[in-house]
Amino acid sequence: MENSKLKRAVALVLSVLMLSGIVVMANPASLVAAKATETDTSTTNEALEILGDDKWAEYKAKHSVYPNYEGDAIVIDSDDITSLPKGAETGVSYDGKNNVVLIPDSGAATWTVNVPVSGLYAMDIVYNYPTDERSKATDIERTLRINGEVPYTEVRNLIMTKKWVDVLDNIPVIYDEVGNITDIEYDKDSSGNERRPAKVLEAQWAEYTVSDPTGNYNGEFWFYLEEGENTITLEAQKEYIYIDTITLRARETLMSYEAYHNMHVAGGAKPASQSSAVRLEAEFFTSTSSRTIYGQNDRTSAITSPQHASYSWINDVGGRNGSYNWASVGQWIEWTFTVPESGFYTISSRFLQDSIEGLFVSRRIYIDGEVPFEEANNLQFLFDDSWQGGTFGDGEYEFEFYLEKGKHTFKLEVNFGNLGELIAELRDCVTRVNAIYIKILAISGSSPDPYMDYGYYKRIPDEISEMGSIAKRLYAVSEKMQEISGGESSSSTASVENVARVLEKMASNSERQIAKNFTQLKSYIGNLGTWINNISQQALILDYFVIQPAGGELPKGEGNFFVNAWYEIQMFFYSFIRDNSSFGDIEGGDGITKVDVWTTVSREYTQIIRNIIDEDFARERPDIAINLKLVTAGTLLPATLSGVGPDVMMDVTSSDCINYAVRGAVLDLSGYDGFEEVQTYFHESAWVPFTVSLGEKDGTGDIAVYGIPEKQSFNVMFYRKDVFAELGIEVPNDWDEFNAIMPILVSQNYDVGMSHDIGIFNTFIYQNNGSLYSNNGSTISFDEDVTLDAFTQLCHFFTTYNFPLTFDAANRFRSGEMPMFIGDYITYYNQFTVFAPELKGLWGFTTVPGTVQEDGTVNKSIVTTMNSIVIMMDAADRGTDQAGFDFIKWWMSGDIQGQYANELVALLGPAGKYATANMDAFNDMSWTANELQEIHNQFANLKGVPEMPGSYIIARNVEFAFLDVYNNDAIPSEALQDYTNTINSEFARKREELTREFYIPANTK
Amino acid sequence: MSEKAVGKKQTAPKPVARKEMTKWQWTWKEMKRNYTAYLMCAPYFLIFFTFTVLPVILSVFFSFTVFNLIEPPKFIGLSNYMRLFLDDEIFIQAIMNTLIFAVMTGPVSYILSLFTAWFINELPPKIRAVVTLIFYAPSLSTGMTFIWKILFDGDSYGYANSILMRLDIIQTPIQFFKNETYVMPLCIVVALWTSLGVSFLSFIGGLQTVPKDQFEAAAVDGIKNRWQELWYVTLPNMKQQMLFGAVMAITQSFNFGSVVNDLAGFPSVNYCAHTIMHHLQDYGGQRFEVGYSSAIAVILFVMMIGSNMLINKILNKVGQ
Repeated sequence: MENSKLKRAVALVLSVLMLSGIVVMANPASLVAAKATETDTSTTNEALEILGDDKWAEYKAKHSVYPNYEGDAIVIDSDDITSLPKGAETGVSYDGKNNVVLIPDSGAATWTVNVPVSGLYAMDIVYNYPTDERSKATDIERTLRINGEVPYTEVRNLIMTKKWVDVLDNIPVIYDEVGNITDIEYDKDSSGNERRPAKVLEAQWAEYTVSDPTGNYNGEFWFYLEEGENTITLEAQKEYIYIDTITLRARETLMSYEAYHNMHVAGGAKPASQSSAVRLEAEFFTSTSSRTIYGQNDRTSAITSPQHASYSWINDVGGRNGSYNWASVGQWIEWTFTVPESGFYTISSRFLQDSIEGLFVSRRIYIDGEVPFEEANNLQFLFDDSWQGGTFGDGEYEFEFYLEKGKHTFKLEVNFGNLGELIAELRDCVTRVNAIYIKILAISGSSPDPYMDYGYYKRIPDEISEMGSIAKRLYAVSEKMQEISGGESSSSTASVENVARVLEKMASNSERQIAKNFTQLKSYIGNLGTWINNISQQALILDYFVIQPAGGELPKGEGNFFVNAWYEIQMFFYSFIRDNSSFGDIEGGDGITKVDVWTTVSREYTQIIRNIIDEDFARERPDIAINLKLVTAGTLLPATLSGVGPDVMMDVTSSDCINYAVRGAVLDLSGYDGFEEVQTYFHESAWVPFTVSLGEKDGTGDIAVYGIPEKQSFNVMFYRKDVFAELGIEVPNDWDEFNAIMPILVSQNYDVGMSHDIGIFNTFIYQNNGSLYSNNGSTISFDEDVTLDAFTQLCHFFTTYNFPLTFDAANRFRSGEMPMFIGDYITYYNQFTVFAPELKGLWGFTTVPGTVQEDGTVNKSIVTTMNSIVIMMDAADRGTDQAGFDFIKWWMSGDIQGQYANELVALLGPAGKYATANMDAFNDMSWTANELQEIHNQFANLKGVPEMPGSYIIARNVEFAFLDVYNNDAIPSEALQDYTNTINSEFARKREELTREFYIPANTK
Repeated sequence: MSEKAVGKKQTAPKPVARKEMTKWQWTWKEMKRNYTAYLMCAPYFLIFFTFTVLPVILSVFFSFTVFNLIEPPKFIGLSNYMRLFLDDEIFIQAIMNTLIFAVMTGPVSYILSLFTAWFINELPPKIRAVVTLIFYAPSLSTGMTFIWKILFDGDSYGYANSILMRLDIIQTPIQFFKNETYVMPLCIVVALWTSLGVSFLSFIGGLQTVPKDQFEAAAVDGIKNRWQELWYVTLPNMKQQMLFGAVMAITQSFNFGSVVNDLAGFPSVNYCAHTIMHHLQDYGGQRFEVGYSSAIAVILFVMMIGSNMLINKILNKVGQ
């Protein structure tokens, strides 16, 4: 029985394979025709400009023939400024310096300088930043232009860091007799866990040497300047900046470690005595480059110091595998210590590096603000699953630093060390392979047939030979990597070699090989991209340092058997006492209002919320104790029924909010103290679903607001820059342009993705100035022409252009089959960032096309979906409602939402972007200026859809009508009209059943 | 000990005959006499009552009210039932669909499992074990339906669509689970596939308990063929298993809703695969109309009890 089944299956597969060989799939449409429609607007051109930039390696090769400048440093100050953006201030005094210039977070400032001789110059910038609300929690970012041009692509995003310090004002810090910190007695919560201190920005004049922000190249950058007048322009990407001076100077190179050591030995330096060893806990750092780098708790090892089997104590700093804290290039932590005598010291640490297997994690060390020697760019921390002890070194030497008696600082900055140039090379290869991939895709589609003649050699001969040379480059990289990691081939080199092997085959003089290996290439290049992405996160945790003369005892990695066993036993028994489900249950005392807040997000998210409450709200409002609980969705209803529900519930969808409200389970929030202020936090569209008019049929009754917006999501249009550039078409701004490029895309076998759900349908309605409801929410507008036209418009895309109804957007976008699609901005942004790292920079998003109005303007309205925070009716009985409202007001404020969003990114990486409803918070988040602009553009056009009791019936009936059109060729307007009665009678029934009457307020649509 | 027994005998009251007592008196007396048994039953009974009997009683009560879980219920008499049968087209469709599923996964799959079990039972023990596993596996997990979802995915990369498109039979992918033409048949196929479960296993078990000597005796008595053997010997010996299998099949067929949800989404296109379970879920979960959904639940309950009684009657005819 089984046997015959198997035979049949094999036969079927074989027959399918044979038949598919016969099916012709090619569609060699004319590229030339597409090219003819080329236009000259912004997005594509900008992408092309960026793609066309020289890289540093190329610039270096072209310009290193010129002589180095050897004269005195040329200092350029604010008197040399020739143009400034709006909002800039000159002649300012700030943080101890006079006559500096303040430049805002947009626009370009230009300095003019006379250079005495043509040559190569290095550049330093002395900068500072405001510490008030103008400064967000992100790094300063500028694009450098010299004489109006970006000399090489790396200086498009120069990153200047800020200095964050822990607030230790009321926290006892204990020093030993030498002056090193031995303990910090952090605040504790009621369960005995340590609370991390708040962080503030501290102003500091810092000197930034222009160097590689991507971490690929060690050492300073240089520029070739012609004799005479030159301009230097800093174009703002992010953040305000104060600039004192810009210095052009002769290039400097660092001495080698040997030279450094010899120099100090010649100066009479000797190793310090053993008794002068200093021990310093890593969590007692002085400052960090980011708000999200903080001391944290490790429970995995018994000997992490200090450790407790029950309480969570702050005992290390950094992040584990997958963490984004102190893992991205440029992030640094600085420590201060005092040595009792002068001499040579080594620095050893107890660390955990479990993120980059087979290779190492790199750090650059600065002693007292300077990189002491060349090899200090390349501190290596080798991989191990458990904690290790080791001395700072580059794999060859264990460094001895010469330290004078007294106070010193050292700073560890994330970089790529020796791997940097290899990573740059790999990234370049990936970009090139992607470009070739798109060319082949345009010729033969996503799954070419090996038996077809596509004429690759006639059409893309250069690309084919380039594949061969890229393969050679990749083999070379792989070899170098093996050299660095000590001759072993690992999973890392495998992903490089896989790509090389496939490219070699494809370039091997056979058309068939190209078609045959095409899909394989895509998957391998994806793997390589993922690997590059992983290796870019250089996560490392540090427990403590020992600064001592060479030969001293190293920190122990792990405790011995007995220590570990005792720790585990203690943990086991404490587990009966320790409560992990509530996040810091705080006792209410006299005059303290206890507010129960429930959330349904994940455990990590809840912990972050708790930390922010402790750090900020608990200090600001000691009279309110927040009891935060993580519950599963669906707990709210039964809990409320039995009277043990929360006071404040987070993450409530807009339909749930109105469903609860119309049955009297949540409070009207419009009357609370501070509501007017909260109103300003959000775009007006965010309020629409939660705002209703009570009683009066014409919507003139009292206005009630039942929820505070929390998350706001909406669609944007994602597009592949490379495919658009290849086809020579522009990203459409309205539906007419959209329709105009459709034939070009369709003729090249490209798909366009769009959802057919009610969100898109509503978008069409609102773009035509219609509305989903009529009669203030009593009836549906399916009998109005505007609505019917909108529906026809929606159906048109699916019936005429055959838009796919079901598709995996991420996969098709990645492979290039679907170069344009409309989808939720956060979901897909996050997905592409992680899922398609090899496409970095090759895709973007913009506003959804609009509808051209009669007066020629474009209506770009788009509807939004909301989540809210509500206060339950029970809170009014318990008297916790105002306190609950104060909490919401604090939580949804711009600063706090910005901080929350950044903490999420620190935890989850670039894929942790959060769709906060607070518009100000966006500026705090790590979007690029361009992305931020697009989001703001879309925000300005958002429309809220009112939520009425019974509105669940709309979405499903629209879906039915749509499928009727799609499957059975029904006429759209008729199909939709059929459901008018069904929906209206459901509305009527609901109004009959419910005692409260909700209508849409008369002044909104 | 003997002394005690004697003492007891002396104090024992005059025995009472049953006919001298009313039925209730007699029951009470018997209960007192067997109180240990009741005591031992109590924990189970309490739990069973609270979590099974009480909800049934409550839902019968709520079916006569308008109740939205948050506000107190309002009594409205038989209105819910009247609306169900007179003013709710979707409910009538749901009953139709439920009956179709019940017939397909009930009798059809029941007979199918019986015969499959009978055939498989003839195989050598080792092969039998393997084949049994193959047939039983689909019902181990309802999540297995995702295989069908991939197979008939509406994406052009779904297996069925991809093959059909390669063969140039279709140009655009068919939305198998979003098209009224395909949803019901596909759901029925999946229903049959997953329903070869518990009843099938119990049949195999039952078949193996039939005593061999009865076959010999039957042969002596003049059984002519395997069909007669099945009808007169095998099946009567398996009545317990058959009843168990039947009850399981019926319960399963009424609870088929979740599989439809997995495949066709909720609600299915134009309610074409809407069952009573879905209707209940729709009103209870999405529309906050617990009164109305209780009425639906009561009807589902009555239907289940009815079909169980019917099955008992039919099974009594086996072997006669």
